[in-house]
Amino acid sequence: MNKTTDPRPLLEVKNLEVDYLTNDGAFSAVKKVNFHINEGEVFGLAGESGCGKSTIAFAVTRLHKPPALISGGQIIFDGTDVVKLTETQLREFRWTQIAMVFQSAMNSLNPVLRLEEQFCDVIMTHTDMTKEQAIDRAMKLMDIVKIPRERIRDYPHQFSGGMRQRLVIAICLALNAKLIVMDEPTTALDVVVQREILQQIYQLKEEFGFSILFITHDLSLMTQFCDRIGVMYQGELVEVNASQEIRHNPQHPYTQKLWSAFPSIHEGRKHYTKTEGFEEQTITL
Amino acid sequence: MQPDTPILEMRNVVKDFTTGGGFAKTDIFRALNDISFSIHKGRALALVGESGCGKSTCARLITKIYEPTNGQILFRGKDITEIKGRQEVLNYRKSVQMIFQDPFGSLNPTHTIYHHLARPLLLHGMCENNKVKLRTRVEELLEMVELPSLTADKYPHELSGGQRQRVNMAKTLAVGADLVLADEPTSMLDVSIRIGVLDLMQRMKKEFNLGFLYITHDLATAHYIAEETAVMFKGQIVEWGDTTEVINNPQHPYTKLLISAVPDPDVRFADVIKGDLDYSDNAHHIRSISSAHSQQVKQVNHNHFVRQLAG
Repeated sequence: MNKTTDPRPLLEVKNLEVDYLTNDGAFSAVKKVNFHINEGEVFGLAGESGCGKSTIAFAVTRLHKPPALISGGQIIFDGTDVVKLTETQLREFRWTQIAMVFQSAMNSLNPVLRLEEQFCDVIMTHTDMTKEQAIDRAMKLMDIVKIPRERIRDYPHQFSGGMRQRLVIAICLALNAKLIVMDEPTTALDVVVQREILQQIYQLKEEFGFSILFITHDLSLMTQFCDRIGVMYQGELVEVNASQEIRHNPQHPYTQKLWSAFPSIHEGRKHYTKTEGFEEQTITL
Repeated sequence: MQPDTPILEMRNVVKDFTTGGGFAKTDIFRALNDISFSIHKGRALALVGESGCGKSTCARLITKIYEPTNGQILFRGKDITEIKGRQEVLNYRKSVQMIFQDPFGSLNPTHTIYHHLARPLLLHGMCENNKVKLRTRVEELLEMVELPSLTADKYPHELSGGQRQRVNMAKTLAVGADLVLADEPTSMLDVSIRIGVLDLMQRMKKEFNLGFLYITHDLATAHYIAEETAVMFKGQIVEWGDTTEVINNPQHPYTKLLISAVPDPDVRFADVIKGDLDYSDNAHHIRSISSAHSQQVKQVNHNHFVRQLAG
């Protein structure tokens, strides 16, 4: 980022190992992974499904459930080791320090509660605000993600998929978390809506200065959106570099393979010339 | 340009759905408004659009799940509403096969892959009911879709999404389909797996002379597989023609919007935003001007047409 001070790592993941206990013994999903995320930085984790990228996202917030188990390593967030936190400390830690947007986050809203209650739930659990103050805060958050205030009394099913995704992002912003983990936040949406949401996330990040851990399998999108990228393959982080380096100078054969996996539609567009000599005409059907 | 009579032709098809009813007031929702296109042997037509634009409704009309409200659907020149009677319908269903988006839901978890392939062979009388012959044919089919013959004894849960989609393709080959309606067949697959499945579709198209209707919201895959593309918005085809023309020289504001939303890895997001601060408002504006029905079409190139905005 273009900050003058030396970037201080906000999150440092050191030798992280996550195992899944199965009938055939432990399966190591994440093998000695090291990376860090600086303040205000967007860090991306790329890789195919099953490579362990979502497992890392869950581990960072300690939301992984058995049979997953952190078997080694440290997750240092702003000076504290997340791995050592107790359940009570974790309750305090989640949302205020790290917030999360999951894949199909639009389904993570409670269908039987009005939005108002869902916002208040998060805000009032973590702060001393009264209900009125919490609602006021919720309305301001809705302004930020450009959803009309009066819809706060609606239920989740009354919103479109893209709007629900924006609402989840608004809830993430409620407590000024320093890091937002986004696991495939736009995968279920179509391209235009995806672009709208990413633009909003980007502008919010510029305004509030939080960091993002961004996970997707779409390498083109990731290169556009992230400052640095880590490429994962079978539980190992095979390459970490600035996104432009990953794009133009991929080192690991797997990264090279990922790039060749899909031709971009923009390539052809850059070299297009229109065929000469065709006269345009208007037809009425 | 046109090699022969199309396998399938949609002529000014309109489909209305009635909403409400009971105690609520009824309303008519026009899902398809004057849709015309044709699909030829050995070629693919991509139908591209956002969710809810009517692209899957087209596939449902073609499979005779719904009847069109107006207009005609011709299969090898014959109106499909006239296809009646058990044998005729069976034959039609044999010729027109579907591949669905969800490879996890489209195979029965309690049966082996052998069962999934042998059953259509028997149902459509494509193979004698003889264990050895069926087995050989199933293994041949698996080989065609680049799966090891061992796959026959596996259950769907033992296969990856890409492998399951290959089994679905083997199914369409088993019955000797002429036309495959592929509804987002790769959107649930990983980017790294997609290309393999698309390459297989490409091969099926060439080697078996199949016609494809490729339904997607993803221009990038459409561009890879289809010779022709039709961009749909709110039940209307707004721009259609050769895929390269539509993608490289888009004319309709909605097509331009779609293309601009496809991430380009060579442009930083910060720069993308700078050029387009009011993206959401623009998108909203384009949607509202594109939704009205219009009869005016501009021909931009030999095979490239754009519907003009109404009003």
